[in-house]
Amino acid sequence: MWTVYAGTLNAENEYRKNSIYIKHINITTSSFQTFIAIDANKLNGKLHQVIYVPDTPVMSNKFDLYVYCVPEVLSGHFDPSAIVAIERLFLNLNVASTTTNVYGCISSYFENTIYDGYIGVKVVLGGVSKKGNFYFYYKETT
Amino acid sequence: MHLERYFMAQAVSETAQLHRSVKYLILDWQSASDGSVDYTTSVDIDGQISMVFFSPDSGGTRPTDLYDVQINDVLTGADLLLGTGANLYNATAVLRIPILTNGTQYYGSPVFAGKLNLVISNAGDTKGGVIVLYWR
Repeated sequence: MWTVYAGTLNAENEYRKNSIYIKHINITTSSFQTFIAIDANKLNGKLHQVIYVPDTPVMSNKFDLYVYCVPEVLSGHFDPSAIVAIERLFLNLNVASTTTNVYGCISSYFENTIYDGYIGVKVVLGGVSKKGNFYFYYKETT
Repeated sequence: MHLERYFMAQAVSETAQLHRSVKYLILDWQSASDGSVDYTTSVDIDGQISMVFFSPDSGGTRPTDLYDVQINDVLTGADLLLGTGANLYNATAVLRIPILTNGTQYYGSPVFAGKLNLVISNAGDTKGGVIVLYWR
């Protein structure tokens, strides 16, 4: 389950295969070209990568995607407008909106990244009422 | 004169080693008449790619130079080789390590879960090779 602050969450799915855990969301951007949401379930393992898969109507080319780890102490009274102040796990500016691509995440690289929190997603400049899929790949730490 | 064109089907055999810390999947492929392969693995696997080895056949089944290989995540269709399987040489074996990057930072190799889809194009009529995918 995700708490949505801007835009629309059309569908969400989860997949698990041994050490890999995948969360999928299909979203529609708001009239302000954004989508902001926080996962209500606590982060499970390292966020390793995000795969973007286009949908129709396709999002604007070169939209910006941010993924954050929202600390548990802020959950429940989280101000999504302050999302830029939260630890940023992932940043990809200028996402190519018409092609499926794999994007890496900083938490896959740093062994000592803190994961005690919730994943937040922000899409900026995605176009008005445009759709897209995001797959979040977690790899459980051993 | 009566002409017939026979379509040669693709063929892929797979061998997996799944019980060591470094696992591997061998895909021994032969292209169809149009130079393509589109094959979904039977094994259901997961992990993080370590490296990928491409070895073209020699002799009469040597693939066309600069043939293209993708290993796609079945769930999303994303190319887990990140484009490193494009334009492969037909005379030498090559080792590739796909690395996620945004151009300035590097995040390691992709992770995957489930079946994989091998897609080969531009390999020539009934050509072949071996691909070995290593992961942990």
